[in-house]
Amino acid sequence: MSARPATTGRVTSAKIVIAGGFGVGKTTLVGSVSEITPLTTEAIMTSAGVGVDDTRQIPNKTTTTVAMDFGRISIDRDLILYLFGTPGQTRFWFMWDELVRGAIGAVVMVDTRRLADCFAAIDFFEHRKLPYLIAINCFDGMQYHQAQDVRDALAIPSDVPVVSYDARNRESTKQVLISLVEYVLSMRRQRVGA
Amino acid sequence: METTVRGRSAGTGSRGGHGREHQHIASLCDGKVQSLAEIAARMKLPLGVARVLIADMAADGLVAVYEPTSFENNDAVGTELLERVLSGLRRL
Repeated sequence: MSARPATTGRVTSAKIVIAGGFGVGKTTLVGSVSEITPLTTEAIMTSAGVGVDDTRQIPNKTTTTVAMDFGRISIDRDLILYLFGTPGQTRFWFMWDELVRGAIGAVVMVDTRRLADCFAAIDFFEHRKLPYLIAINCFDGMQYHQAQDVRDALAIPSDVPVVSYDARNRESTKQVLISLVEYVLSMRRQRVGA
Repeated sequence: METTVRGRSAGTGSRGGHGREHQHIASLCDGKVQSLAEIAARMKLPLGVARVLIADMAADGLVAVYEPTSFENNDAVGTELLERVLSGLRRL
């Protein structure tokens, strides 16, 4: 038998969403800090015409299967943090309400050689009012643009953090997650103090 | 997706009426906490199917299901949890 007297303690979980274009390194980022090898899960998503009042009335709604990778970090015995990578195909973004519901916030991974790939994710988080930060992945230690250039190019509001990092490096990834949580906490404190 | 599940290892009652999927889930989360997403991924089942199986098992008292914390409301519970997440990340 277990030495622990009780295993009925309240367990809770939290999640951070990792977004960005296809091939930007989302799974690499998740894998660099996850305590498990990143897993892939599939969900069947239903979509219907945007702007239509009652989807139950629509006979030809479509379903599609989307896959996402995720990892896990045990924060303490009763709190588990999950990192969910968004599906690569940005055209499925609008279906990902469940993915962002209740999330702490999101990391938008940016490859400066393909800046436009992250537009959809930024729009989505802005629309859903989910806090996010921009993380510029420096492939091979190279940074092609300065943070301010990226901020200007993507029209990122001045309060949203823009950081550079290396997705393969655990310390670097950890720092990105820390920056996001610090940002979310500071936003909450501002709102409370207002 | 990040709803967590823990097996109840008390072993009470017969498991005779339960299918292989139920037994597999019970073994995955026996004495440890797994999320719905983890169970679905390890069993190679779509999330929705895993969700139904786990709901059945919860109804039979075979597993305990814990809802995730939502950070959408700006309440003290969420802030306290964020602070725990932050210090946990710093300890990594």
